[in-house]
Amino acid sequence: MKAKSLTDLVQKPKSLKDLVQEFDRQYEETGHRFGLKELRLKKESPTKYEAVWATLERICEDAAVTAANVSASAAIGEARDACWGILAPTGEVICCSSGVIAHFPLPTQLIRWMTEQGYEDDPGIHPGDIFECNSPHAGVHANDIYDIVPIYWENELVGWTFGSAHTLDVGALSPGSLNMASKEIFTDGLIITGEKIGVNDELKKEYEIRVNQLTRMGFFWLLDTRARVAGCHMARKGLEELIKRYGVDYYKEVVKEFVEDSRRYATARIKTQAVPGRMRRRSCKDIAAEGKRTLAAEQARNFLLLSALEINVDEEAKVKVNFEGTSKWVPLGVNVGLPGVHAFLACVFCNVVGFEYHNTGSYGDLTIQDPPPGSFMNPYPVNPFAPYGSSWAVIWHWMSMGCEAFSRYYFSRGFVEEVLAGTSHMPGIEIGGSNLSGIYTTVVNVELVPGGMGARAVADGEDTAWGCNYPAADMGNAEGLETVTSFVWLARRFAVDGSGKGKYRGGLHLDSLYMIWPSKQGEWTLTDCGITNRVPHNSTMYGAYPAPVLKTMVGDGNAVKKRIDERKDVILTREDPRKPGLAKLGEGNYQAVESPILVPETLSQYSVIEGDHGGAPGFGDPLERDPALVKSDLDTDRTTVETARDIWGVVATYDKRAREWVIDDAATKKRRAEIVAARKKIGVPFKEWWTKSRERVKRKDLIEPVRRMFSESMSLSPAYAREVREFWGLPENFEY
Amino acid sequence: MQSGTSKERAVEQTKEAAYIVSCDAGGTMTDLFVVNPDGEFVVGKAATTPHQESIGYRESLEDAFTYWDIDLKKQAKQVIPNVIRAVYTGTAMLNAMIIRSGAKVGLIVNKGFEQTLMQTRAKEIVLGYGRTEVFHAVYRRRKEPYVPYRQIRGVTGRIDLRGNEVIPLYEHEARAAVEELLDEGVECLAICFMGSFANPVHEKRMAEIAKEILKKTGKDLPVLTSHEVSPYSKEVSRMNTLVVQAYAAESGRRQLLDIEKDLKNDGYKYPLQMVLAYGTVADIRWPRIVEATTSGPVGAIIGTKFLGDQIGEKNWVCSDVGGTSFDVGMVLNGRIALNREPEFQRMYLTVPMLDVRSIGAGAGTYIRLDENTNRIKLGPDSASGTPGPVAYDHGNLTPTIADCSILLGRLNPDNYLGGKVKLNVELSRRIFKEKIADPLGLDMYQAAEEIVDLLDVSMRQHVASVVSGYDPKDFVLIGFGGAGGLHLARYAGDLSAWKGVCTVPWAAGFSAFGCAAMDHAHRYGASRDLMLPNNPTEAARREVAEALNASWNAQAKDAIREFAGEGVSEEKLKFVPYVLMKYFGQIMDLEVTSPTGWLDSPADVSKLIAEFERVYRETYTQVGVAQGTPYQITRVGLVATADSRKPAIKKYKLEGKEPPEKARKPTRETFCYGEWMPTEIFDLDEIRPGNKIKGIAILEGPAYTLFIPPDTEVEMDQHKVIWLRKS
Repeated sequence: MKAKSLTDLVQKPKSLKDLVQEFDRQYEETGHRFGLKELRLKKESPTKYEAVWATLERICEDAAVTAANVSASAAIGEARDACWGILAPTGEVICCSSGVIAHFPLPTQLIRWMTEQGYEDDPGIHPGDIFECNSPHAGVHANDIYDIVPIYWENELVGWTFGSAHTLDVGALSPGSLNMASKEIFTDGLIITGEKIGVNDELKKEYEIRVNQLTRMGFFWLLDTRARVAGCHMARKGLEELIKRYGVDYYKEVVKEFVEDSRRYATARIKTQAVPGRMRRRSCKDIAAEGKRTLAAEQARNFLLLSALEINVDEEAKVKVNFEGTSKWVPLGVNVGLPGVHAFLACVFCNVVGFEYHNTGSYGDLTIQDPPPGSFMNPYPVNPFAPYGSSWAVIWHWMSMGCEAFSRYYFSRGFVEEVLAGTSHMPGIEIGGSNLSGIYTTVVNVELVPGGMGARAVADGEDTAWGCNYPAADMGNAEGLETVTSFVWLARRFAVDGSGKGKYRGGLHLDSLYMIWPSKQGEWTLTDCGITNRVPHNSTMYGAYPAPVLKTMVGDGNAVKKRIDERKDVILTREDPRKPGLAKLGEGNYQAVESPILVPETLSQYSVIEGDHGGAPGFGDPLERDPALVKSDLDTDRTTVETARDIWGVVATYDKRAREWVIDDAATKKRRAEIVAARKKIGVPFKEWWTKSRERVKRKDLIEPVRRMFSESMSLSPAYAREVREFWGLPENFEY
Repeated sequence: MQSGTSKERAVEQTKEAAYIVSCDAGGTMTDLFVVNPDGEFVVGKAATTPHQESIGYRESLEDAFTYWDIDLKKQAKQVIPNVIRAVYTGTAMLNAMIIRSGAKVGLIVNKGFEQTLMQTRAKEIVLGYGRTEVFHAVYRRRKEPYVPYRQIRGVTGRIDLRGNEVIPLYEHEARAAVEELLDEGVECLAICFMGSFANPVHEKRMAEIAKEILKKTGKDLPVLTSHEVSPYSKEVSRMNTLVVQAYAAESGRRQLLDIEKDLKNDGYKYPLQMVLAYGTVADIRWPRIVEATTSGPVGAIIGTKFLGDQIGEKNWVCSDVGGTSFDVGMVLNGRIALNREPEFQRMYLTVPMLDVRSIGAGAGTYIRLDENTNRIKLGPDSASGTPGPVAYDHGNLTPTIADCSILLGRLNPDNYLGGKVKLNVELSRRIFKEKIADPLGLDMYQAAEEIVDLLDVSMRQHVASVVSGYDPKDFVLIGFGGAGGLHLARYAGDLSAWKGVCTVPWAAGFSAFGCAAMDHAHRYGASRDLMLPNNPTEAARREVAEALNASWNAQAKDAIREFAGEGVSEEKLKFVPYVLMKYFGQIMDLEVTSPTGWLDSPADVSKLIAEFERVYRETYTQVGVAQGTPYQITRVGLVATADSRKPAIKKYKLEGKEPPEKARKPTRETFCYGEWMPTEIFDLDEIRPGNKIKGIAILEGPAYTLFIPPDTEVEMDQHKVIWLRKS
């Protein structure tokens, strides 16, 4: 069937809803976006085609740069936690700025949702309208807010521009950015669900009043809205000029070709670099809420969430993703709506698959099977009130597994340089109080987005270098961030031994030490972006270790002040994961804290908090690591002599005169042989392990959170349950 | 290259003329712009000699004077004493960084921040990367810091952004740090503490301790502090700035002193001046030499402003096409915006720099096809001068934009750099066809033209970015740089959309020209954090006025002292006070010159606020205005300017529309709009004011070629400015 052009379709009185369905059908039937088997415009003039693309990129970047200057968030200005872009009328992303790429699939979801809700008729879509969203129907978590603005050309809707940005507070149950405390969505803060917040290019007064009334820092929210909308308007102006130059018919056609071309690019890369087949990854997210102060009693237990990712790549490089085995939603704000699935996949595909031309086509030929309804990745069909304020806590695991899965495909084909073992994970430390200007602010540690990169198959992961959700992430200057915060930085060091060990180690994360100042009193909560407490996240490759589990440390303000007065060391970051630096404050003056702290706790001036910032996974057997790399890490305080000896099997001594470490080659050889021998001693044949483990499974000899997790996973995913029973040779009626 | 003078007259002038000599030493070529008071000029070129820049400088100077038939090898002692001003900008500082031959620096920072240089800012890793590389995660690689970790020590202490002492300086740690670093054999001590821009008390005390220990041990090392080198907020960038100063300043300065010595040997009487990043010059002995590191692109924008002042145009967009980059800047109402955290060697610095925005697009830009999609990819990397385009036959087999220009007949292969470089056009043709044209399924010449057009569109987009928010009708677009003339007519877009589009015959040396036109000025500044409520009371305004006046008084005192060291007395100085302001809560601030100078009354503060709001609207348009929001002043500064000698732009008598016969060169075919067209060729140096030339035509100089497409005409005005118009 010959594909109709967008022009044909739009000129007829077809609704957006019809168009969305039409384009979906065309893709399904032909395997090409918009049914485009040929890229006619590209073929006719490849340079004109590229010229339009260059213009679109420029429009998006200009919008991002200028709008960021208008914003209030340190997250936007210093760390650019934001993104601007251009969409087709039916929501496909055509082009977007650099920034948080996790945001770019969300406007697509919003427009599809709006069409399903009949927005064309009520409330209507008109030139000058501004729509906003942060709800789980088309968003990831409440603090990631985005706005869209329609673009009309001679009374015809020809596209949209969008702007998205993280906002510091949304008036949720707990202050700040990552509210995990809610039992239900009703206390996740001010939720805007695709609402028309502005007409005639102006924000509605009642919207501004509501934001000021219902959030702790409405002033910041509104400056950020202005930044998003200013960027949308700038992009709209640029687009109107582009259409004027090239003609509306050319524009409408070429944007479809960009999406299809991008799809071809991503698909070609997979076809070239991957081995067809099935790849499964599993990761567990633990939440240690037992005994914690919570809103409801049912929240005060320990949770274990199973993230189950299966990717199938066929010989045509078509990718199918399913989540069978993912466990149930929980009464804490870590649930994710389906937009979160698109967001994490966008991050994975943009970073390791189709990073050349960012748009909807970057997914290649991807088919997503929705996660089991009622799971924490798709709770809303079963529980429409599932809270989602801190959904990044689990999304980080998915991103890491996705990078690792594709890396395994690539490694299998010999593309070792393309390997990226996964991502790092961070805690969500939220500190509120009075800042230097005497204004209450609450600020989360977004400086940690640039974490350690996963190890490569040819080199260590770079330290504090990259965020999967935001490739060009930046930690900003502490002096820049302190213009807003109620605390100061006392240290920004590499987290010693904080990443996964391997032939190549994962990149290290920052080990930041914050002190309450100038605020006389601070409040803090602890949630997270993927950090685990007792169960390491599972990402790692080919014999390497995952990053260690670390704890957030808190030191008492009086004890710190006393040490200052005595001129004793107060820059007490950990010496390694086993030796907390804050222990020097003395028993009772420090504590190791497991996530979450859901109800804000009070801290006095001079109190310090040290983040347990997890590094990235490693690659390969640590015993194969070049001792010279271990020496380099020792010389730069990135590892310790004990770790060198116990994990890498490298024996080193410190030469005090030369002030450097010296590797003992003979002792290293011996030490490595000892470790290999010890490994052999504890190794058992697979059959033996399986038999023994099966008995344990049959007895249901598991701690309660584990039993419950498996039980819920099996009840939500019949296919998963069937495989579990088959694998362990269990009766059909077996349940955990 | 020569402008409007006869040999006889030029030789005669050497006896009494006063010359201004300005140098722009690039990575590949060193340009020397020489001008006499009549506005006549020559541009010399020679290869840059990084190991000893005075050699390249001298060769380029000699080349320049050959256009006046003066042999400096024989006549230097007669000519050089007539030079009244010599200005340098270039790579002297950069070379020490590139070949890592700088000083062994010992760095003392706050305890807890010892790894800042190793960490860098994450986004510094991707500086200079294209979008694809940014998103392709595994491409990331950090570079080694200039100060190894073992030469860095942390000392406990902390000052906050308002200058309050949070943690006192631990002096026992301070002493230990100095002693350990001296044991390491460092050649310089550099101190950078958090909050020092607001209150340098810890840095000062640390320096005192260092000096005490140095005295005791009988050692004589420079001790630098960040608040003296760069008293601005943003600790990573400030630390980078301090390190560049400590690491490269002295070796860079040695290069400059050698150039000066060479000139003085022939009778030059004044100090050599160097260009600072904010578009002024200072004596090469200026202590904060780090301010000269990022001065490369600023010559052109100052040249534009200067040209504008001379011919009466206030709004300009200047565009410079080189071998590797396309630099664009803006002059708005005679003012040039500053970038306060410019990039340098994949680092951010806190050196205020004229805002010149660059993209990787130039004559040497590589052309490739994506292997998966067959999409055309231009750059952002470039063949630069080494190995150069394919046609250089120096080993590069990836086609470049310059190869396209050669294939299209727009660049004369027999006159490349004045005939000094012989080109292998056949190789260029074969490689371009094989790697680009055939895979695209296009005729070779059509492909070459379309790809040049594509680069021109990218450049046009970059210009549009800079002009974003303004109406081009209010601006003159000027193009220069060695490759500027080949692309100007096309990247300008619709010529009638501008107030004017122009270039100049000395376009290849325009940056050096700009350096000659700079003020002798110093810029002072310090970060502050002053709040002003919306509708401030008289008392609040008075308080701010007192704080600002106190800062400006202190800075004026510094300026008077430092200029005295350069032989300039107080009465010859002019002061322009400024602040950086923003609405409270915003991240970015804007520079606002105080309309009343010092603030004598609360009313003057109101005028300052009004000026901020005007600049804000001009920059971000009304949409971002945060009405009712308090104001925040984040930096207080002062520009002190002394008189200096500058070139004059001469006004010539207009001659006829027809170019003189001697300007005509043999015609040749060039490819344009999909066909070969007979094209008139003119000698650029022989075109006279008043001459008018209709496209398709080419004006050829030894280092600059202006391509005039069929629908365009050019006219040289009385200042020798060449205006492009639709024909």
